[in-house]
Amino acid sequence: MITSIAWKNVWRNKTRSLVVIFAVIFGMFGGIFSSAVMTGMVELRIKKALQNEVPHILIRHKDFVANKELKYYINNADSIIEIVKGVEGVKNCSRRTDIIAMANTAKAASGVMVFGVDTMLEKKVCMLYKTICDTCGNYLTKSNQIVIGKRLASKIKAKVKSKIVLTLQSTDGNLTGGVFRVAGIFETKNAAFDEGNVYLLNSSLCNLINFDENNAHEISVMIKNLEELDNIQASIKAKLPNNYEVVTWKQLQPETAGMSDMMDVMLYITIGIILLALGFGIINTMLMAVLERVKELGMLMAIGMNKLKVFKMIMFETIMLTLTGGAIGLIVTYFIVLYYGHVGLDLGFLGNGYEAFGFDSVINPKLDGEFYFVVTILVILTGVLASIYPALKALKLNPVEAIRADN
Amino acid sequence: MKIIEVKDLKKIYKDGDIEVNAVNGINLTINQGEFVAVVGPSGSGKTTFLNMVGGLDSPTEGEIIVDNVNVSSLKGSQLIDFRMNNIGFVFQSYNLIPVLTAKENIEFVMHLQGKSKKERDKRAMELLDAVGLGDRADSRPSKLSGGQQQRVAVARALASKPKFILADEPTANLDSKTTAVLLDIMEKLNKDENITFVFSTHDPRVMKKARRIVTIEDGVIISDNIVKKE
Repeated sequence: MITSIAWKNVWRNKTRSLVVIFAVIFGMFGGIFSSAVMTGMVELRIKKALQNEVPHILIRHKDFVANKELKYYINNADSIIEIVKGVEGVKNCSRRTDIIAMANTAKAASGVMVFGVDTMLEKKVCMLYKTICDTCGNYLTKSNQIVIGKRLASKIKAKVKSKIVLTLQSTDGNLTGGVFRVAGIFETKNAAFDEGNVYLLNSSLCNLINFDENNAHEISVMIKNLEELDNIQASIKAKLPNNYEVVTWKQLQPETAGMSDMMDVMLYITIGIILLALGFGIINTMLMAVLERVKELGMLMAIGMNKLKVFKMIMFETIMLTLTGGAIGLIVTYFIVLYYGHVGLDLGFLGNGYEAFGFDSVINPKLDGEFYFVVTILVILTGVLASIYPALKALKLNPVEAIRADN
Repeated sequence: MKIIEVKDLKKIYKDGDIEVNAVNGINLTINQGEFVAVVGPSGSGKTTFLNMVGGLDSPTEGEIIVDNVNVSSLKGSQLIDFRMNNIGFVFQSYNLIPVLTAKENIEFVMHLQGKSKKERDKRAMELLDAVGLGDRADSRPSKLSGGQQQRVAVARALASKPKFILADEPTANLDSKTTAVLLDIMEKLNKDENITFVFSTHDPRVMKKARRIVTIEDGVIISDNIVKKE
């Protein structure tokens, strides 16, 4: 009966309760939806990074990363690939030759990282070729071709079929260069990546810098199941000589990998701040509800309602008020997140800004069930905490004085 | 049979250095089945006296014994339970719970007592019938007239099967006709079921019905008259 009275009391002043309920609904929607958008952005960023920018696992000479010197290479890369392919969970491998170079057109120049790739193998581990649009040319097929990013093309004023001169250092330490035609222009939505990386056929690059084609600077590994990342990394490491380093995409792009954890913290902080603000609003409303019922509360205490029951009644009222708004807010937001998760939320008007940080402008908001569960617990907790002060205020009433109060 | 026994009851309020003797040594015995009006001018101490008898306020000195229990020695939850099980309250402004129906208002105190739903339903309907509101069981207080609300309040006061009913100016907000109906109901309950009523009032209509009139002035009883033989 206490629960029933508490529920009826919530609707005693409909306008006031509805104001609080709508505040909770909009607060929940704002917090959860923006969290879902942020989560969607991060997931998309990670997905794109894994498709186009970093392999799941990378094998390289342990000194190569620090010096980027040609001499730190993987000897007889094919034999290493064979070993790696024998590890359970490995799907595909590709080999690359890496070198820093200067890319020049007649109008501008820019420093780039040049990757020499074997087209057939590369397409099995890196989906970069899919980001070349229909009007932006093709992936590498000929020895004099180069594939560049859209941002670099814009910077050095290059188009498909434009000539680009690469100036680089050969293995003997001499400066060398080559002229390449732009075969295709890729666009990953990561402006920094698109500006800093170009691709040649491995044979062309090796020929240019006088590098043995049997060797490579890195081997990219795609695995079947990302959940097994750490295990597969350990298995590969165990099978390779000590002078080779086996790193995961999380080690290659710690800022991208860290986004997910950081985002989780940010989401809870955002929701926490919203609930804190809502909590104060709820305290205010419940305090009003208690103060305008002084006489009634006095009567209840007089006829035998003990303090625990009075406390419970006020607490139930507060929790019900909070949960009504919270539940509606959660359900509404859930379906809106589901809808935009399906059709995508186009933040095109902010696109350039997002792309500078590697984010796509079309986001698919997403949240997992655990987040909704935690938010539900937080809403209940807010209700409980917000009820304490008004309930204590009710307990301090003296029945004799309360019964004679004006209200 | 003695139902209420008040011995040397005093209540002193302190306002800074000033002491106010609201009740200044009252001795009174009320027996089962009495229909008593406690009268007196405003500020005479009758409400303070009734609050102490009802266990809502504690005396500075003296004892209140209700059915062999020293009420003045009870504290906290013991006192709340005592009030719930032994005293029925009727207030001047009805004080029904506005979100509950008439029947639910009557049931509420029985719910606090832990009575079963079946028992609550049965007694609530019996009491509503007794106060002539059996057909308004599902009406909320806002849909009832003042007199009807006060009749529900009387039914609620009786719901816990108390030793006596304390009614603080129960007719103050009612017109003559409604007052007459309410007093007739209370008189009938008193006669038929031997329920003890103690009123605080200065309504002559109540005094006319009362069979004992206790007059309090300046915190003491100045007269205690049996006006009709039982």
